[in-house]
Amino acid sequence: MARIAFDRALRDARILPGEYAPGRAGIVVGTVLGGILSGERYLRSAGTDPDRDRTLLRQYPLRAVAAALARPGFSGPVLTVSTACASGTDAIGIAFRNILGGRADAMVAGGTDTVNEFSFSGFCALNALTPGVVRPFSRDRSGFAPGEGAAFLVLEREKAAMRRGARILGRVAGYACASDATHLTAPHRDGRGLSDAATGALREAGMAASELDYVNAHGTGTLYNDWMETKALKTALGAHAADVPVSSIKAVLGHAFGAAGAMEAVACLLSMRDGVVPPTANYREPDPDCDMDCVPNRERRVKVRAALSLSAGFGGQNAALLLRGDG
Amino acid sequence: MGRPVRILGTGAIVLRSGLPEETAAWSARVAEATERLRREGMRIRLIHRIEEIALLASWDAVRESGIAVSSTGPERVGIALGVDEGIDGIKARHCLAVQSDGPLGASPLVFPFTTQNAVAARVSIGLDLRGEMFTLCGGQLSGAAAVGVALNTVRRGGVTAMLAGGATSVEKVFLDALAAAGVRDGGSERDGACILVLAPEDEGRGPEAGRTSLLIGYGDAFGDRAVTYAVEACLEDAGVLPGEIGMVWQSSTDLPSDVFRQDLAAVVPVSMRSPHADMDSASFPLAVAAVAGGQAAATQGPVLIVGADCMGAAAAALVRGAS
Repeated sequence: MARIAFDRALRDARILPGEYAPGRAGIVVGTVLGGILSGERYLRSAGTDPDRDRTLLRQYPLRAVAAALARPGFSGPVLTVSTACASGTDAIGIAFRNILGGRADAMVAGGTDTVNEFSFSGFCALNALTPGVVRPFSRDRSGFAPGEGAAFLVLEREKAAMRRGARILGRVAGYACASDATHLTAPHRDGRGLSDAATGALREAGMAASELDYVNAHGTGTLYNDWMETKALKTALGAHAADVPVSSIKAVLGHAFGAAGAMEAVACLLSMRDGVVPPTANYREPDPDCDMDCVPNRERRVKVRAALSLSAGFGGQNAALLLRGDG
Repeated sequence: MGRPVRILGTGAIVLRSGLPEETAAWSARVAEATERLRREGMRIRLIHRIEEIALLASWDAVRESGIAVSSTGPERVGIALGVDEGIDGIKARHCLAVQSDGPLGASPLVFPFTTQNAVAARVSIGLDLRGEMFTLCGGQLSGAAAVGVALNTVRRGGVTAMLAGGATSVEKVFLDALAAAGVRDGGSERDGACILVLAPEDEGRGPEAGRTSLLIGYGDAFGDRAVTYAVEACLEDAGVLPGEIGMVWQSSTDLPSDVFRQDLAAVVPVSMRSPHADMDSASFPLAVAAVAGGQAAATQGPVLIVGADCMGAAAAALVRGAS
C-alpha cells in the first residue's frame, strides 16, 4: 500500500529521477505498527517457516517502512515517526519543518498502517471498537472501526515547484503538536493538548480562526474523543467553532491509525480543489456535547480557502496541520 | 547555517542485565521512583524496564539542567524520543497471548505499551511535559533522529527546552531473531536510555547550569553515500569546515568499521568508537552526552559524532564546549 501511494504521489507531482541534488530530498513516514503483519507471522510460525529468520527483522524496526520506500534521488533524511494516531499528521509536519529549516528541498511525507489481529484484539480489549456502525459526533456513537491505507504528499518549496511548472494542490501554512501529559489511553477531558496544537498551527500561519473554512476532525466516533475534540475546537476557535463546517471521514474510511492524518490532509486538499466538504456519514442523533456543524450525511458545496486537519492519539498525542489553497 | 543550541543537562542509564549487583541497585532505585510518583499524586504503574530507564534518565537530565518545568510553563517543554527495538519484547508478549488465547488473550494494560510512543508519553506524564512530543523509529539511529527533530524545534523558538534522546531494552526475543537472521554477535540482553535537555543558547547560563556544551549542527542522510551526505549536511548546518573538527566519535556498530571509516574518510580523517555503541536507539544520544560531559571542553575544535545503521541511514552531530 505504502509503495503504491508513494509512487502515485511522485507521479502526480511529476517528479523525475535526478530532480533534486544529492542529500536534499527525503522521506518521512508515519506509522503505528508498520510491518506488524510480518511480526505476527514470525511469532506464529515457530520454526516452521523457512523465511522466519527475516520476518521479525521487518517488524521491529519501523524504519523499515521508510527504508522500503527510499530510492535513488531520496538520499536526504529518511525518517519514521510513530506518534500513535497522530503519526501521519506529524510526519507531514516534520517534513514541512525540514524544508522550512533548510535541511531539504523536497520531502515526501505521509502515513501507512494495516488492519491486523494484533491491534484489532488490543482495541477490543480496550472496548474502543464499535459493535455496529461508526457514527462520529452522533449521540449514539459507540466506537471506531479499524481501517487501513496509505497516503503521501510531496512537499516542495513553492518557488521551486512553480519553477518546474508543477501543479500545486495547496500550501502547508502551519503545523503544531502538543502533549496532554495526562493518560496513556484517554484524552485530556478538556482537549487541552489538541486546542494547544490547533492554536499553534493558526499562530504559525498568521491566521485568525475566522479565516478557516473547514475543519477535518479526528472524529473517531468514540465517546470521549468526540467530546474532547468539541471542547478543544471551542477553546481554539472561539465563536467560529459554532460556524465552521467540521466533519470526520472515519465513518466511511475507518480509522487507519498512522495513515489517518495523511489521508485526512489529502481530504482537505481535495476539498479546496473541488469546493466540496465531505460529510460526517452515519450521523443520526445530535449530541448536545458535540454541538458543532458536523456536516451530517451529505457533502456540502463550500469554497474552502483554508482547512485545519486535526489528529490525536494514545499517549496524549495531538497534532494540527493548517492547509491553504493555491492562490 | 543553524543557530547553536545549549545542552543544559544529560541523564544516562546503561544496564547490563546479566550483572546481579547492578540489577539489585536498579530495583532499589525504581522502588524509590515509584514512591516519589505516588507522593506526587500520580497513578503511574511502570510495567517495563524501558519506561523505568527513560523516566529516570529524564528526571536526571531535567534536574541537571536546572529547569523547573512547572514554573517555566509545562507547555513550553517537550520531548523527542527515539524508540525502536526496545519494545519488541512487549509486542511479542501481546502477540503470543492473542495467538494462544484469541482476542481474550489481549491485555488492556499491556496493549497500550505496544506502540512506540508509549515511552515518551510515560515521560511526559511523569514530568508534566505538555509541549511538542515526538517518537522517532530508526533502529540504531532512533535517538539521533530524535536529537535532530528536537534541535529543529528549539531553533524555531517558542520553547524553553526539549528533552531529546533514546531508550532501548534489548530482550531475548530480539536477540533470537538476530541470531536466526545470521547476525553472529547481537550481544546480550541490555537496557539503556539517554536524555539530553536542549535549550536556546541564551537559556541556563546561570551558575546552576550543569552543562555548558553546545550542539551546533546536525545532519542525516540515506543510501549508498549516507555517511558522507550526513556529515556534509551537519558541517553545513554548523558552518564548520572539515579541517576545523577536533575529534570524531563513532556512535554505532551497525556498519563494518572498515566500510564506515572508508566513507567517513571522504570527509574527515579520524574516528574513535563510543563506549556505548551497542546501545541501539540510545547509542547516539549516549555519545553526545559523553562528549558534552567533558570531551568537548577538552578538545580543540568541535567534536563530530557519526552513526550509521544496517539499513543505509547515517546521522552526524557536532558538539563543542562553550565558555
